[in-house]
Amino acid sequence: MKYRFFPIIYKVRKCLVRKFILGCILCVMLVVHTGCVATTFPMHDPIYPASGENITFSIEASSSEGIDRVELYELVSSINAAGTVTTGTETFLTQWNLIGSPSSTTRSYTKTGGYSANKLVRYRFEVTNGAGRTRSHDVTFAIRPYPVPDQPVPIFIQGDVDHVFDVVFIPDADITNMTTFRGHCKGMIEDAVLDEPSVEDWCRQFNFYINPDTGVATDYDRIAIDGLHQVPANWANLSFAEVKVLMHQNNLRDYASGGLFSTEQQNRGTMMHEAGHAMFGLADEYPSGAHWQASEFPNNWSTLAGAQADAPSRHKTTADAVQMGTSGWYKICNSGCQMNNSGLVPTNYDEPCDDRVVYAIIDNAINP
Amino acid sequence: MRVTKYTTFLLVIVTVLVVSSGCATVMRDQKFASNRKKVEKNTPPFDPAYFRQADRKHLAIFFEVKDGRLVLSDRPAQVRPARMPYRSPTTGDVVVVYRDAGGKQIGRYAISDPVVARSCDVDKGRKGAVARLQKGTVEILVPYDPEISTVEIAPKEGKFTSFKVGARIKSGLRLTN
Repeated sequence: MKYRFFPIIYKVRKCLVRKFILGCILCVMLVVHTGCVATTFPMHDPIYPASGENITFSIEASSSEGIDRVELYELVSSINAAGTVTTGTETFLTQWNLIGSPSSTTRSYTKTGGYSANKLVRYRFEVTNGAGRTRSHDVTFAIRPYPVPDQPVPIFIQGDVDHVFDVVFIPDADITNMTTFRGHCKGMIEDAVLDEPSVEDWCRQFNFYINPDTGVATDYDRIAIDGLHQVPANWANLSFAEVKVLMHQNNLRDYASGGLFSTEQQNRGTMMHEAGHAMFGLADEYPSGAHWQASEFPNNWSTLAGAQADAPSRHKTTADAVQMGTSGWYKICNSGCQMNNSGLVPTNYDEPCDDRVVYAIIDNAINP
Repeated sequence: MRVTKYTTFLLVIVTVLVVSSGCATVMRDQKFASNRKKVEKNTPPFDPAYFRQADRKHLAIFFEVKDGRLVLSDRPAQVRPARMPYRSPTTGDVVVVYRDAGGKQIGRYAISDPVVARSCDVDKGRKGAVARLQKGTVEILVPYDPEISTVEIAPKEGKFTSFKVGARIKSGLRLTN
């Protein structure tokens, strides 16, 4: 009788436990069957190995369905000074059968003695998840020295140049230790670009190169005296790349101009801030920066009303809309967003910027 | 446990929360999985011979900066390997439009203003800064298309300045061929 005023609740109560359990099972099943096969992040070390140098291939893989097996293959091609490639045959290197289908795993394999000169190496990890579905992920890199003159050296290549973002690391003439420089290039790949939470799920959409020719970075405060950055001699061959980053050793006030930006070689935060401009079209989120309002997924608004109106559909509330200083431009990202910061440590893009990042990655792949 | 209207309410609320959060996760996972599948399906594998392919090239057209204004350079356009980099039409503070001799738009994109140096070096207590260049050289990229006759450049929502680039492109192509 105590439910006489709540007849619906009474009916719900009768089968609530059963429905509750069924609902939970359904949710789990849907997640399991609609999610990705696996997330894979391959790497090789050193990033641009010399001929005969040991190379370690590694992979971090995860899947909600568990990981059953990881296989590693290599394909070694020859490349000559004209850039002509003679493709080899893919061969099996090793495999790991994982007991208990862990949800994530990290595996590595060292190729003792590495490869000879004039080679392009493609390694491919094939990951089989607990449901028997496979994901293949390959990376191509060159062996040092690269025989093709004036061409950027492929050091971490994953997809067709026209459909992915291409990043060229240009050494400044002030770099005194190229081993350290190459280490920072690897750091820019794995600790900056591909470690950014908005980007890492799309890590196959990025290619990286090291330029054989040097440039010279100048200080923003001395442009009137020293001129703009001096581009490398093979600049015309870098034109295809969305990101051309001049990495230097000396302490400078860095800047971007003419499609080239500079950074101290260890500054992952500067890399990610400038990459936000160069690849994804993100505007600055600090006063006195460069501001514009993109027509798709902007991170700057020219009016407060515009920012407030868009905020709910961009993971924010109207209260998040603030003016950047007295610039007359507005943002909704938090102050920790990478487009408000640069320097040594990357800080990640906030969610409104993440929308733009994903939009640009998809647009580049589908409408190159 | 004795089932009362309060425990029933509680169970209903928990169920709704679990199901809605489960649905949200499923939808987000589905959307991501479908987008990633679409993107990766649309991205062919890397071709090591890419940079040697004759049909993949683009053009650089040169301008001089004089007193902060763009002036078309006398230099011929330069044919460059590979297709031009990704340029979104939806972002950036300068719009580039290229047209054929009949005035028909062939394409457009937006970029950061090429006539500025922009420092975002905001660590170490520095402020960001933007300086307009008074002199120097600027290059504007367009697809490899001999039909391009004019290039128009404008600040977003500003007035376009039109440059007749057809002769520069033709002389650049002659140098290449």
